[in-house]
Amino acid sequence: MKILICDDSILIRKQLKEYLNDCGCTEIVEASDGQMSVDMYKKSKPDLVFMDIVMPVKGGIDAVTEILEFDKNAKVVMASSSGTKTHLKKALEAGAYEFIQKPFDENQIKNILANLNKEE
Amino acid sequence: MFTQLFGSYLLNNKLISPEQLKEALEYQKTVHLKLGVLAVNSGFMSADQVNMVHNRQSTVDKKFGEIAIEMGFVDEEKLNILLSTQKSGHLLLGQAIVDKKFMTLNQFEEALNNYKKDHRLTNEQFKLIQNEDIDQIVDSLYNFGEFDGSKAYKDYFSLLVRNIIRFIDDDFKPMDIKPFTEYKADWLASQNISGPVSLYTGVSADEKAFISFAGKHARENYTSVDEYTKASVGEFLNLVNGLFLVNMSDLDIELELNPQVVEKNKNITGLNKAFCVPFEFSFGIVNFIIAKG
Repeated sequence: MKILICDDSILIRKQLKEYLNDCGCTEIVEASDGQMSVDMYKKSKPDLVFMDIVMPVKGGIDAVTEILEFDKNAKVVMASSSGTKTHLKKALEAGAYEFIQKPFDENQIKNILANLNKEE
Repeated sequence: MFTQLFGSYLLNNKLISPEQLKEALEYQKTVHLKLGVLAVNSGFMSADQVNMVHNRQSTVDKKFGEIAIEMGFVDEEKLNILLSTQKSGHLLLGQAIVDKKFMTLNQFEEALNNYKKDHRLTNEQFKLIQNEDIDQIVDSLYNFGEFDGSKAYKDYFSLLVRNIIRFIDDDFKPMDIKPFTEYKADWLASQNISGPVSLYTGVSADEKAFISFAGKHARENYTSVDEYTKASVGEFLNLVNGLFLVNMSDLDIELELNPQVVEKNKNITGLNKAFCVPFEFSFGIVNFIIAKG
C-alpha cells in the first residue's frame, strides 16, 4: 500500500512514518504543505493520504478538495490537532474519508488501515 | 501538582532547605500517610489535638481513629473521609517532611494555614487544589486582571498546564506571571489564534531549555536545535492550541489557527495584554506567552 503523509511538521511526519512502517507499510511519500500534497498525489497516486489541516502555502481542506476533484475515489484521512466542528464539517464536505484528532496513537493508525483493507 | 506548589511555597518562605525538599521528595515515594497529618490537612483536627491522640496512643492499645472519636475530635463520618483520603496520597510530601523531622506537625499546620491565607484560598478552594483541580490551581495562581477576554487566558492556561503534565513533565514549579510590553526571546515558537477570541501564543526559552523541552515532548534525546527540535516545540504549541479550539468549538465559538512559527532572537513588541508565564522545570525555565491577537 502506497501512502502519502502531508504535514508541515517534520516530527509528525517522522512519527506517522514509524507507525506505518510498524504496520508493514513501507512505500511512503511525504509532503510538507497542501500544494505539495496535491502535486505529489497526481504524480504518485497513493492508496491513502494522511492530511494535516493547518499548513502554510495551502491548507489541508483546500488540498483534499483538489485531490478529490482529480480523483473522486481518493482516500484522505484528515489528521489535525484542531478537530473543531467547523473543521470536521469542512473536511467531511470536502470528501475526507476519516478525521482523527492529534495526538494520534498507533492503534488509531492500525484501525484505519484495517478498515481500509476490509473495504478493499 | 500540589506537591510542587506547596514545596515551592515552603522553599520560597525558607521553611525548609532545597536539600531537605529534595530528600523529602525522594522519601515521599516510600511513606505511608498517617491519619494525624491528614486530619490536620483536612481541618478536622488541630495539631494539638493530634498530639493529644498520639500521647493517648502511647498508653492504650487503640488505633488513632478510635481514640480521636473517643476524645470527640472527629465523628465516624469524618474518620471515614480520612481513611478514604489515606489511599489517595496527595499529601505525601507533608508526611515526608514531618517524618524526616524537617518540620513539626504544628509547623506544618501553620505553613498550610499561611499558604491558604497567602493565596486567599477558602477551605473549599484548598481542597480542590489538593485534589489536583487544575482549573482551580490556575485560577488561584494566575491573576491576569479583569479585562474583556481574561477568562479565555485562564481557560487557555488550564489546558496548557494539563498538557504540560501529560506530555512534558509534572515536576515543575509555576512562577509569577509577568505582564510585558517588550519581550526578547532566545528561541520562540509562536502561533496566532484568530476569530471571536483572538490570541497570540508562544513558547520561549534559552537554547538549552528549548532543546530539553523539545526532547521531552518528542521523547527523543536532542542535543542541538535542528528541524526536529523546532518541530517538536512548535507541535506542542499547535497541540495545545488545537485542543483550545476544540474546547471553544464545543461552546459554539469557532476559531482558526495559523501555522506555527519558530524563530531565534525574536523581539516581541506591540502586543496588547501580553503576559509571560514562566515554568521552572528541572532542565531550565520555559516561558509561555499569551496576548491578545
